[in-house]
This record gives sequence, structure tokens and C-alpha cells, in this order.
Amino acid sequence: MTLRKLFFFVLVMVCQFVLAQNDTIVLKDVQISDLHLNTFSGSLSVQKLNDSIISKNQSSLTSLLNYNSVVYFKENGLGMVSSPSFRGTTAQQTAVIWNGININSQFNGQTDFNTITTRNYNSVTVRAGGGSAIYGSSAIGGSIHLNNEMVFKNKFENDLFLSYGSFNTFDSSFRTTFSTNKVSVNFNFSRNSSDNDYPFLNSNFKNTNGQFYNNSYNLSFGYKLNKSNVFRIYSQFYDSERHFSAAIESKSESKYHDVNSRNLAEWLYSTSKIVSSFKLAFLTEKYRYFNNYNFENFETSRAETFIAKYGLEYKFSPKIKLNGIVDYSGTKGIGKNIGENKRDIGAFSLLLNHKISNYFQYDLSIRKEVTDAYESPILMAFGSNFNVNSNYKIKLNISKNFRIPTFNDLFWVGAGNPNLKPESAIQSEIGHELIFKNIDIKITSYYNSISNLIRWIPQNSVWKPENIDNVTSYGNEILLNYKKQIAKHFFQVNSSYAYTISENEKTSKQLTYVPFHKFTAGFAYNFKKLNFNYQYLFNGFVYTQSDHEAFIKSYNVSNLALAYDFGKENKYKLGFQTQNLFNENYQSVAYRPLPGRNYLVNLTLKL
Amino acid sequence: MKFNKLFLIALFSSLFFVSCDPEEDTPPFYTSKGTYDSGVLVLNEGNFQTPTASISYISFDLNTYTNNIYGLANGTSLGDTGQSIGFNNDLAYIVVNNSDKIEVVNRYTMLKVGTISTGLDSPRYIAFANGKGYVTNWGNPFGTSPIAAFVAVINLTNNTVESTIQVANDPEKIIESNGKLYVAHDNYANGNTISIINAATNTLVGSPITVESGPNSLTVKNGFLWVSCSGKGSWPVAADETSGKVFKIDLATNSISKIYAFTSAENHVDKFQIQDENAFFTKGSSVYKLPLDQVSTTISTNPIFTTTAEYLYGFGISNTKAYIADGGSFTANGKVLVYSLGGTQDAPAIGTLLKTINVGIAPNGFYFNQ
Repeated sequence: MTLRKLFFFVLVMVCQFVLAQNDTIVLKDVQISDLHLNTFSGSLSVQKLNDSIISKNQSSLTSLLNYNSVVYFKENGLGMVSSPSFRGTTAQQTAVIWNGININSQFNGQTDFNTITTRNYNSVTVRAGGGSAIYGSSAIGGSIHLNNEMVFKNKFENDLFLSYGSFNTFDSSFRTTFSTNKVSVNFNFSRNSSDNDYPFLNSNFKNTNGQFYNNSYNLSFGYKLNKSNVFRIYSQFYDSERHFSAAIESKSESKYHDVNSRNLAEWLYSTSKIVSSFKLAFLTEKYRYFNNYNFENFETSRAETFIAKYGLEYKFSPKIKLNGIVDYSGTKGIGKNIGENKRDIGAFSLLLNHKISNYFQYDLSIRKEVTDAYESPILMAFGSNFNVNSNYKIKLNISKNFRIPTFNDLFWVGAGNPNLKPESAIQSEIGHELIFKNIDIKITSYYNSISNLIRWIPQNSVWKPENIDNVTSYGNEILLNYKKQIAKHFFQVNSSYAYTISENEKTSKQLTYVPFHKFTAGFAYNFKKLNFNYQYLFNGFVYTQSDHEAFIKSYNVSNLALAYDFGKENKYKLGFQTQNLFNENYQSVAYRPLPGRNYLVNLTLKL
Repeated sequence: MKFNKLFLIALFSSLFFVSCDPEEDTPPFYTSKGTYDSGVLVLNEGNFQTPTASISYISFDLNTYTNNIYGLANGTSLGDTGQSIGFNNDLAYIVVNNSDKIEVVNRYTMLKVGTISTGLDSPRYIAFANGKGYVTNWGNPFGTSPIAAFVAVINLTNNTVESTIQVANDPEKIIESNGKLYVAHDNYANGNTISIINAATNTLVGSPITVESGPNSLTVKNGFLWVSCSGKGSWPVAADETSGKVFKIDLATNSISKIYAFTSAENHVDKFQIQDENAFFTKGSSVYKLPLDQVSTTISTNPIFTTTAEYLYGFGISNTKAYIADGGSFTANGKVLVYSLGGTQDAPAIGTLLKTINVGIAPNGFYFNQ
């Protein structure tokens, strides 16, 4: 191996580490549309999962976060509906933010994490804690940020990824990036499909009716008119068909077809004093549910959301930044079950970021929404950072957040309740960050009091939504990152642990499907052209009935991956992976076993 | 769990006793046919699309109760969505809707004697006539390649479906009388007919009897068929709402001899049972009474008592007791609430809560086992 090659390799690896490590570093030529993610997350626990981590994981957002973050998932069988629980909250209390825009479903208020393909993004950021003052509804437990980064420098790159594995599982993605110092174009296509007919371990049954496919197309386009003006467009189209698999000893003939499109246009004007951003977005979602896939009958609903957002940031001094944002979002929902309804929401936000000294800074945000659809509280957040020394940081954050009622909650024919209030939450947290040469550790303790939870409960034999429950959740999170280089050997360890209590205040019982313990660990080793990667996940037991009469046991799952780069400079990489190495018989949702040991091979080509 | 263990201990110790001194444990007049004799079987539907159906047992004196008795006896779960149970001599036929099967067990021991697992398609209820079983099935009547609703005819000697009889959509409750089977077509209160099958020929006979929307129970008494109907709900069209009704049909002529109804359309009949000369039914969480010899055709809206059930999902009457199955939130185990019906001198006053017993998920029916 020549010195030059080694140098290149070191460079690539170190860059990856730097990117994986540092949440707040933005390379000058790299831009993201989510302007506040870096500025207003300093007092929270933020974890950025970049390209290199994304490429080591299976393509669903569930898989990426399950093995790399504190977020817990409840997965209705492999590839089926997947709901997160972040800090013991419900699936509707985690916001998914696509290039700065909240994309949780208008129908059920949550994002199905198995409908997001991570290979479409350059980075996925996990922002724990309250974020409603910036991101609006659902950012209670935390928010997940999907970012397409834009690069303005001369570059032309094509990447092809192909993977084939057990149960006829096929994953592919193609990405092309073309950029100059004026123009940046990125196109990406991904397709995932699987027969998903894995046998249930220790049983004569196998997974039936679980086949699925999904396609996603992404385009981002940026044009730098001059030093001050940039235009950006992001566009995404997603289409999927999933059969909903049957539980053990059960049958299912249902399937679900969904089509989503997301479009965002942005004009950014910046000088040394101001940053002005004007965004227009148009989002559509549509589903068709077939109770029996043999037949043509289906239930369908669709929603269209239009968003206009203007933000102006003014720098009073290099230390004080003030941001004012006005936004409007209008949603129209149409369906047999929800009728035809519209909802308009206007909002004003004020964000302040003040760096008092190199040791101390704070930020403050306030948001008020105006709508006739529900009573809207004032949302707030206050955060501060104190750098005790170069190795130790203390963070403090307190916020008021909410989750608005969905179209289903408000308008479901015969059941919808137009008098619902938003769920609201007050959260406080304290974080410690220890940074050393090879290791960094983040420890966060939080306390979250959530009131007016919307639950569908029976009233005279009809299920209707009510603001009924109050929940208190608290716990600790630890994130650890370690890296070490000895000669040509590179080691990296990433680990997360969450201890979560989330209790219904009335019964003092832990909520169903919230584990007390979750632990993940990743170990990566690189030597010359060889990559070795080991992933481990422990999920503690969860109650599956609210009276604690039933539970599913804890599980340990390990994945192992080996890859070798046959070409020059990472151009032709072949990998082999074993999922669930120790053949653990486990369930994430009761009576829905997940696959035993299975294999896949993959190929990465840089053209 | 605790009870399961207790039960096992009790079982073993009783075996021990029996083998030592069989005389001592035997009651003087009645020989128990098994552990689950002289009590009520509670069918717990479980959550749809999970194998969580189960059966609970409650002794008539309410002192002994055991959950998951099918699982205890057979070591397996019952299946997905326990719909109903039919008794035929010493056997119980447990209809498991979303598993498309019927488990055949000894009704006093719960020990499995067979399974009917082919030829059923979303089975609902079972009746017996002419030495055969008759099972209503929804089939898959909509769409491009429909499977019409049918009644499956079961050969009871080898537990197989030997033929099918095509019927109108959404056949639910089925009852035998005098060699004929009467099938109610409910369809979430969109159906309003009773089909008649001749068990000798296994064909539909005559024209269906038209009743009110949503026929949800069938009882035969003294040559009359009593049919309760929920009436149409206010959704989707509020103006279409109709009152619950009770029909008395003369089986000699298949003609309607009397119709009882509420005076206003928003009152519906939920669960309906007949004991001796009275009918008892539920509406919301309250229990009402309709004497079978009532002259007036108006059903009273004054309940005889109101229960504390969160979601009244099943209802049974036995002598001086009313059994209420409370589904609760359906995310947790349900409850059985036992109330006194009063009536006799030493019975507690009507509506007195005698016992609350935790059972399985979504209890939906009571089957009195003696």
C-alpha cells in the first residue's frame, strides 16, 4: 500500500468520524434547508447519523434508528406499520421533519417509520426533547430530521447500491450528484421489495401476506444566483404497496397502498446582517386500504397541505441573533371516513440566540398558532449551554410542546370530536456532555408531563376520541461515541442506552409498549480495504395490555456485516451481512414474530 | 396466573383424593361431569388478528373461577377471535371466527376431541339439527371473485364440512326448531331478514321472514320464535334511524303475531335473553325487562337496573343472576359483573352487584354448563 493511498483512506475515514461526531459543524459549502436545526438545538441531546452510518444499516428509518438511537419501535412484523416511542411518548408525539417541514400524517398524526427510505437522505438527525416552538405539532418526545444536503463545488458522482437477501428481499438505490459553484443537482431513486415470507422460529407457521414494495424518487436542485441569493427546490415522490401480514394463528388478506409527494421551493437571501428565507411547500398524502386484496373494494382518504413560511434572521452582533417567522399552512382532507374538511393554521414565532461569552449561551423561542380548529396554547422553549471547560458542557432546556388533533380525531364520520384540545406537554431536561480526544459521552435526564392525551374510548358502543389521559414520563439517556486508531487499524464504538418510565397518572402503570430499558451498540473496525461491523440491540420487556396482565419478553438481536473494497478508492465494494446472528426468537408486537437468522449480499459502485 | 396455579393444585389434590377414597368426594345426588360442570363458560373474544381468544369458567355459586381453561386443558391458545359456542350433548363447539375453525371439546373438561379447520370462511354461529351441525359463514361476498355467504353443514362424526347452503349476506345467529333452521341476517343493522332451512333437504324453504333492521338474537319458546332487532342506527343517515323491536313469530305459519317497539327511534335493543316468562335485554349499560305476555306493544325505557360496565359486550341470564361482560378498554382484560335479579325471597335486591371477576380480553358471551 502506497503512502498516498493510506493518506486518502485516513482522510476518508477521519472525515466520516468528524461528520459522525460533530453535530454542529456545518461545512461551508454544504447547506441544509432546516436552518434552525443547528442554531436551536445546542441545549438538547442531538445525534446526527450521516451517510456512512446510513449505508451500514438496512434502508428503513425504523432499522436505522432502532439500532443507533434511543428511540424505541413497535413493528407490526418486518416492514409493516412501525410506530416510534421517543422518551416514553406515543407515536403521534414524535415529529418527522423533512428538510425543515413537518411531514407527520394529517390522518393519524404519526409517521410510519417503515415508509421512509433512509438512502434518500444525506443525514438523519435525532433531536431528543421538545421542539414544538420551532417545528410545531408532535415534537414532544423529540423530532427526527431528514436532510438533503446541498453542495456547491465542482463534483460529479454516481452511486449505485444493490442488495439481495433472504426471503427474496431486494434493495436498491441510485444517486447522481452534479454540482458546480453555481448549481447543485441531486437525483436519487430507491426501491425496496420483499416476499417477506420468513418462517416463525420454533413453529410450523410462517409469515403470510407480508409482501411489500416501495419506490421513492427524490430531486433536489439548488441555484446560487450570487453571493447573497440562493434558490433551492426539493421534491420527493413515494409510492408503496404493502400487504399487512397476519399474526400467529391468524389470517390477513389486507393490503395498503400509499402515495406521498412532497415539494418545497425556497429562496434564501443572506448578508452579513440578515438571513431571509421564503419557503413554499406542497405536500400530498393518499392511502387506499383493501380489506381483501382479491377484491377491488377499498377505503381511501387523501390530504393536501400547502405551506408558506417566511423567516427573517437579524444579527444584532456576532453574538445576538433574532429570528422572526410567520407561517401559514392549509390542509384539505377528503375521504369517505373523514368527509371533506379544511383546516387553516397561521403561526408566529420569535427565536433568540444569545452567546454571552465563550462559556455561556442561551436561546429562547416562542410560537403561537392561530386557528379556529382548536384552542392553541403559547409554545415556548428556553435552552442554555454552559461550557465548564473544553471537556465538559452542561445543558439545560425547558419547553412547552403540543400535538394537535388529527383529521381522523376531529372529523371521523359518526365519531369525530370537534371539541378536542391539543395534547400538551411541559418538558425539562438537563444534559452533560463530556468530550475527550477519543471518546464523547452525553448524559441527559428529562422529566415530561403530558396532559390531555387523545384516546379513542367507547361511549355507548361507539368509539370516540376524548382528551382523557395524563402521562408523566421521565428517564435518562446516555450516548457514547468512541474511536481509536492504531496503525492501520481503526475502531469505532457507538452506543446508546435509555431508561424510561412513562406512567398513566390515573393508574400509575407504565404505558404499554414502552420498555424500561433499551440499549444499542455498534462496533466498527476497518483495516485496509476490509470493513467489519457489528450491531447489537437489547429491548427490555414491554407490557402489551394496559392492566399489565400480558407482556412480551425482552430480546437481544445482533447483526454482523463484512465488506471488502475491491476497487480503487472505495469504488467497488462487496458486502455480506447476517441479520439476527444468534437466531433470537423475538417479537416487537405481540404475536408477530420477527425473522430468525437471515443473510444478504450487497454491492456498492461508485461510477 | 395465581388462579391457574391454584387450580392445578386443586386438580391434583382432587385426583389424589379420588384415587384414595372415591366415596368421600362424591356428592350424594349429582355426579359432576368434570371440572367445568355446574358453572358458566365465558367466551373471551380476544383482540382481532391476534390469537388471544380464551375461555373462562365461573362456578354457579361464584366461588370458583378460572381463566384460560381451554389453554390449561390443551396447552395451546384457542385462536383468533372467539365468536360463539354451541353445545351438543357433551361436546362444546367453539367457533373461532378469524382462524376459520371450530374447536370441538368436551364441555365439562375442555379437552379437545377434534377441529373443523377446512371449508369455513369467517364462521359465526352454530346450531344442530338432524344429527348435523349448521354453521353460518360470512364468506367474502363483495368484489370481483365473490364467495357468497353460506351455511356449512358439518358431519359430526368426522368433523368435516360435508356440504354448504348458499344464503343471503351476513348470516349471523342460527337456531333449530322442529327440523328447521332459522338464520338471522344482521349485517350491522343493514339486514332485516330471517332465512329458513329445511334440515332434511338442506335447502332454503319458503320466503325469508322480514323483521326490523339488525336481528341480533333468536329464541324459540312454545312454538314461537322471538327475534330481537337492534333497529338502524343514526349513522350514516340520521333520518333512517329506526327503533329497536322485538318480534314474536308463530312457527306454525311463519307469520308475525306481535311486534314490540320503543316509541322513539333512538332507542335500540343490544343484547337479548329470554328466561321463563320474561325477556331481559340491554341498551347501553342498562338492563331492561319485557314480560313475554305484555299486552302493550310499547317497550318500556325504564331500566330495571343500571350496570357500571364501561362497554357492555356480553349478557347472560341464569335463574336469579344477570351476567354482564364488560369489554372495558379492550386493551386490557375484561370483567364479568354478576348482578342479582332479585325475585326470590332470599335473593339480594335487584341490581345488587354480587361479584366482579376478571376474565380474558373482550368477553362476549355466557354459556351455562350443566
